[in-house]
Amino acid sequence: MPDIAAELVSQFIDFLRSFKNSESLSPELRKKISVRTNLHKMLIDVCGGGRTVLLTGSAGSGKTHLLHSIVSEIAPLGRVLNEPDNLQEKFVLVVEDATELTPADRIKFALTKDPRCLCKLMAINEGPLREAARAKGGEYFGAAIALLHDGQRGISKKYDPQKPVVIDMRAYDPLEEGLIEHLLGLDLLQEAIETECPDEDSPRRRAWEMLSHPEVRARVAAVARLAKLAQPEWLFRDVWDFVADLALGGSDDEEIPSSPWFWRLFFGDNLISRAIRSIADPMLHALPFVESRIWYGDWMSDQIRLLDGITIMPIAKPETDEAFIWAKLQCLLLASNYRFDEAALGSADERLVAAVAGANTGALIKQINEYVTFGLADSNETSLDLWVDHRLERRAQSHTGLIKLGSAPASEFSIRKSLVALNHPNKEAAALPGSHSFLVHDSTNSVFSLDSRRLAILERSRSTRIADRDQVDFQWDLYRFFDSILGKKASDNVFEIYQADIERSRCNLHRYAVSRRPPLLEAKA
Amino acid sequence: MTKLSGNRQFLGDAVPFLVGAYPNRVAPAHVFSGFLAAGLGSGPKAESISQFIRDASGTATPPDHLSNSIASDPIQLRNLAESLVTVLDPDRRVFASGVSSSPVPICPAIISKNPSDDRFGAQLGALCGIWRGDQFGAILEMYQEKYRDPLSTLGNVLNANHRPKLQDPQEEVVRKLLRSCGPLSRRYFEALADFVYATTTRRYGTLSAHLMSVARSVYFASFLAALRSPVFLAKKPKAWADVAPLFVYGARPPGNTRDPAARLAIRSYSFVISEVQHALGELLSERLAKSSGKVPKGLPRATRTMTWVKLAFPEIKQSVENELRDELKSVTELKNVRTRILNAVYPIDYLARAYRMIGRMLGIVGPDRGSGSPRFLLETPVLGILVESTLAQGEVLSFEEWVDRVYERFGIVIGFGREMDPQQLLKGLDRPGPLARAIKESQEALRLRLIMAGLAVEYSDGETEMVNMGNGHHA
Repeated sequence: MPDIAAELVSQFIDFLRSFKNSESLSPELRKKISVRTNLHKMLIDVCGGGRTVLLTGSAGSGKTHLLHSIVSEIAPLGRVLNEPDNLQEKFVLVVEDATELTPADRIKFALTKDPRCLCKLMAINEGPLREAARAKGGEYFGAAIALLHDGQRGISKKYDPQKPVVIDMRAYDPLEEGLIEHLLGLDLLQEAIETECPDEDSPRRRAWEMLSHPEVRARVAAVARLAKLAQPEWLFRDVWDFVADLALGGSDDEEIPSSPWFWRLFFGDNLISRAIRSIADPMLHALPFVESRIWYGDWMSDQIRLLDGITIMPIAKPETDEAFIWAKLQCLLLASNYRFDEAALGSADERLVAAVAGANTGALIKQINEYVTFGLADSNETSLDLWVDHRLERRAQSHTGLIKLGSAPASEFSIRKSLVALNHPNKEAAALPGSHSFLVHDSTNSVFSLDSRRLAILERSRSTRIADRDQVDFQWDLYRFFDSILGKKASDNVFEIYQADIERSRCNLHRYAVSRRPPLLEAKA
Repeated sequence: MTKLSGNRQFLGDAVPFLVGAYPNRVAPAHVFSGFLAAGLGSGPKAESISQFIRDASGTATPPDHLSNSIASDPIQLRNLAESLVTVLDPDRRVFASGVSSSPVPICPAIISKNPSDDRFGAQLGALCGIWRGDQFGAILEMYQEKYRDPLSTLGNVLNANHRPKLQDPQEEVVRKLLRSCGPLSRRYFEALADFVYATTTRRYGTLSAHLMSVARSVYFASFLAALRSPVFLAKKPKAWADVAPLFVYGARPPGNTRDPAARLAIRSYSFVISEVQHALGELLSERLAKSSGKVPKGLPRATRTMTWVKLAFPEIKQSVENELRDELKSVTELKNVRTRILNAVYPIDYLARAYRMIGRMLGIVGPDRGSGSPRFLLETPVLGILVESTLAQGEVLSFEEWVDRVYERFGIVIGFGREMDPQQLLKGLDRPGPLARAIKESQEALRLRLIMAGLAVEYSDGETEMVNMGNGHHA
């Protein structure tokens, strides 16, 4: 174990047990726990040319921490100052919290031109950003808001040096691969646990030993990513709360200890654990054969095959529900031939989630076509059919006829992610994906949000019940999406009438061509 | 319920947007047809098209301009009729007789003028014509210029060279209302006209989406007009605080009755309806009082009251008179006569049922069915129209400012906003403490619904801004 100063460990424990706030960290501790992410490179790349860089995002999204942690890296470029001075050397201006400036000062800061200034970095919440945009001369901040709006819909535009570079921390996905694994493997975290829990045989310490296995840490991170199905956007603060709870939450003294990380992963007192349980309740995941072995306490059973080098913490008589789950969780997470995260995805919209994750536009389009036509028509993945619906009245059982006014080829669509770096000169950085997915029709910029709730609706078959408001609202929004595309893509002379007969599981499709001059309506094959 | 419930022979000539005897007929399709007919006239093809799509025997005259392959083949004709049901009659408000039918008006030639809407459409048309002279010109433009999608072309084919002439919707009862009500009412009706005009002049992707949006806003505006016009006429209020608060349940409809906000919406509904009944009672009294001096002296007691009533309400017919006679029995005093007529024509349970029936057809009152107490609510498509029509295209407004705007224009309470006085709003409803909390919770639930529907954007500092960026342009 490396020699880590007790004072630093104590500070770290205070940090873990408190409201996570970058300002409260000493520079030394900040350096110890910093994780280098794509954001660092993105920010350092943009330092130069006198650019203004705005770091936006809510409290807890990591703006200040990011600014602090890159100061040492940009120091060789020039002095880091909070306001310009009379020195002749090059400098980087940094404002850690824009709320401390008046709107006029924010504008002045952004528009100041000084050949010695390499770059201006400002951490700013969206509130002060909009305040500055509304102030006199605030067009520069107005442009930043427009960039944010586009970025939140995955729309990137060509780099414009007249506009600020915006790093949208809210769009950044801190559950990205690598971050949680890294944090769980921090020596400082191990030291904190040892300090807080000196008994080597305590359940917390014994369980934490399992996390020295990189595969186990990777599995925890993969399970944590399930939380994105419940809510796409997570803050750095949420991740730290999660890690802190895994490490120090719960108690060793209960009959069924609540301190081991595998228990806290699902039953911890933090937002990510709650989200994981809402998406993938471990009680609902069966392990055939293994469960009966657990029940009888047959820990040596060859049914229970664990990752190499891992030993679980058996319970003598796992006869109560709680004890049984406590034992089963270890098998769910540590089995060599079973991945809980994959099984959970399998039961929750696997196909579409995978399609969205893999930007498989065709699969998504096919599913939308299938959904709209009640799954009764042949659907294809080469084009999205565009429908309108003339129903106005809320009736218990709605009419199942639809009108198709055109279609748009799948090649015109893309599944995009919200963007983290906006107006970034480096193309690679500008393409860094955020956490929210959209189906975008490229030529009309029409956007359809793809969150987990919507994907679940798409997976279900379409209902005609007006009381199913999830579906009614979803369809209303889908028709708005279709309409915005139809504004440019409607065929001007062919329409199709689709009638679904749900009781008999069949459908009729009639195709017609119309012309204005001469006025004529004809049936098409 | 008697034959008298909702009979329009009593106040139909004095109160616009008055609920009638058959509120289940006042469907969105009918009101929209009535509205268009008021400004563009009824179309020459409405009846024949209605017969064609609803005639199962296949003997009805088909539309003009069909290709030979359709016109000469009975199966193709039948298929076409069935297909046109989806285009023109998804709400099942077209009937085989052609009378009282309201096909989706994809062209002016099939606009149908029929009495099913209890004149709501025509009266809203008159209101819009008064405040927004260009209302129907903009609708005509929508038909003629704006769209080039296949249904717009189909409309062109069905229209068969019909050229509607813009008409000045004449509804004396609406003009009377505007003459006799106070400034709040005038602002209200102007806001309703603006509301419809905003959707009419907006750009959509297709004629279909445009028509459906205008139809929704027409129906929504008609419902709001119906809810307040008796009160405006009788009470002439000066501020929203002078009328019963219209609190809308903001969370996902219809809401659990254990939810305090749902209970508040239920209570608000009952207050608003009671106020409507009270106002109608006042208007009945006024009419009776005006005629009391005209009753010939010396009439026997048995016929005196009935004569008085006939003088006050000259439009009542014999069958109604007979039924009313049984209700009135021997009462002679104004107060008693008014109460008997009010309880016979506008009993409270009838009014509550009637407004519920009309409101639920679009999703403004719920629950849709069952025994749950009626309450004001906003289904998402209605919420969409409310946002679209209260924000200029591209306008950005904070959520709280929007809440204020909705209250200021329509008297609809969806939260406290920035400028509203909670104490004033809740006056008379219940104990303010728990209700204020309920309204705040409902406002928060509504805010989240708006964000989910892409009608608002939430920022990291907790601010929420309404957005009106057009269809599909939302994250």
